[in-house]
Amino acid sequence: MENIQEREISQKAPMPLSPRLSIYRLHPVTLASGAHRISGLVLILFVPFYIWLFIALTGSPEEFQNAIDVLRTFWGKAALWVVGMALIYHLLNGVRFLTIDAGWTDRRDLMRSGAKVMLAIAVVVAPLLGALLWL
Amino acid sequence: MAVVHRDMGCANNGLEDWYWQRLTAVVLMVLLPLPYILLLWLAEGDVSQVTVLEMLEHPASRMLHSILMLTLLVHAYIGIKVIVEDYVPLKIRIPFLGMMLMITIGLGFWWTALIWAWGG
Repeated sequence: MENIQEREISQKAPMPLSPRLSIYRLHPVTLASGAHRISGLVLILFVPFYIWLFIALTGSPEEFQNAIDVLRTFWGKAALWVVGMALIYHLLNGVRFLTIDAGWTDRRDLMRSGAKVMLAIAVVVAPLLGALLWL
Repeated sequence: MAVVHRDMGCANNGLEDWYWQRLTAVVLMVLLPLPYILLLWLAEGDVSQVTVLEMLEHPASRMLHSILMLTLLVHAYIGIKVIVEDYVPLKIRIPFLGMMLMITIGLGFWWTALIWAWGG
């Protein structure tokens, strides 16, 4: 027993982190999964801005108008675009994950095509949301 | 004989995270688009503050906003935990997660107060 533990300690090379981003090739499935994490982080980062908006919207009339003005600036709309994209992607890809968990799409080919569909949706929705915000 | 090195973990923890992440996901799927649609409406439309306040002060709206806040924080915390477990070195993982948990809980109390007590 002691021998095994000693061997374990002496052989312990630096473990690569999981998922091993620098080792695996980038597949659509990897990309779709990574994008799920990134979009989730984007949604979390929007929370402080949301709370600032909530305070302003329920504040004085001047604070309300200020919040509306900020939302209508280029950067305000850019923030709405980024968080909107994150929300749409995270929601749809989350539904995809649920269908995998439920066993409905728990097949390698369906997981691959599903990941491609998600990435395609993101590419199509991005200009549409931009048009909604800026045109 | 190959020795597989594993990080210490609690055997019954994973499934609970998995379960809560999905339960909150279903709730968020319904509730999270609502504030975003409101923000789009505010940015694009012509909405008065009275309209917004009437919407936000309704008890049902405050209740839904609270459920949204709670499920969002649980979902976000588990999501961060999963990412941290993948990428943050073991030595600082536990203090880091503890800090995240404290921030999440603090934010939750503040957010609840904002939902229920704005305007005095």
